[in-house]
Amino acid sequence: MADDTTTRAGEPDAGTAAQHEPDYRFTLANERTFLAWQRTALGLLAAAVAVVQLVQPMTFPDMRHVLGVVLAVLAMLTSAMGLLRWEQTDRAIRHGNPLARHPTPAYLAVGLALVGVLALWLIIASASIG
Amino acid sequence: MTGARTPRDPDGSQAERTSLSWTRTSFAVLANGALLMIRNLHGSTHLVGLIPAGLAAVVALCTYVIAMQRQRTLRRRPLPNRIAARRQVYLIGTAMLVLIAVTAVAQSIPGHSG
Repeated sequence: MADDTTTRAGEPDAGTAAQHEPDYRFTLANERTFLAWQRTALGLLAAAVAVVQLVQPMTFPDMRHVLGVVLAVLAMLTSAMGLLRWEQTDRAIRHGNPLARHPTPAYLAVGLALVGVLALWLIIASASIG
Repeated sequence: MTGARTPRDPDGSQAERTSLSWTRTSFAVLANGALLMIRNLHGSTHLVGLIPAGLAAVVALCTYVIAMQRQRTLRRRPLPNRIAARRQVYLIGTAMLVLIAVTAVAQSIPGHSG
């Protein structure tokens, strides 16, 4: 897909020199990735609100709030990381540099796993007491 | 990859997918605002309690306006040379961070009113 360097009439030149306007497909793909990160953050925020507001107050009200805080912090980090990565990728494609490799999705996965473990523990704890 | 030999405008879907992505994001913000409104139906209708939902509505509207702008820009043929939406990305990125922060603070303050 990215190897298609033929320049048709009416299409912007892919630009071979450094610091040039990059191929529009890279720019748009980067933009969509940014938006996907923001939507992920929104999903986490929705989960945080739901866990605090909609879940019945359990025997461990504090744990509910801990879970909410963890989710909100995760949402914040995800959103900030989306912005940061957009900036880094934009700079890289403008200079023709290789894209920075980030372990960010792995961090997110670890965070989500942590949330899952917390939720599971909450369920088991409230079931065994209530 | 599969439709590489489409004769006309082979990358048209790129522009389409990008503006759809903006629209989808605006709906995601709106859904969050709706979720924040649910709690207001339960109990207190304090004006302060409406701040996060109101902020979400404003951010959703901004995102939708940007989606419309992007759609108009990306539909142009030939595509404009400078196509990066730097200002929009920074605006929405910052707005999202503020929205998350405000929501988190609002959730933790009047937790016992609802």
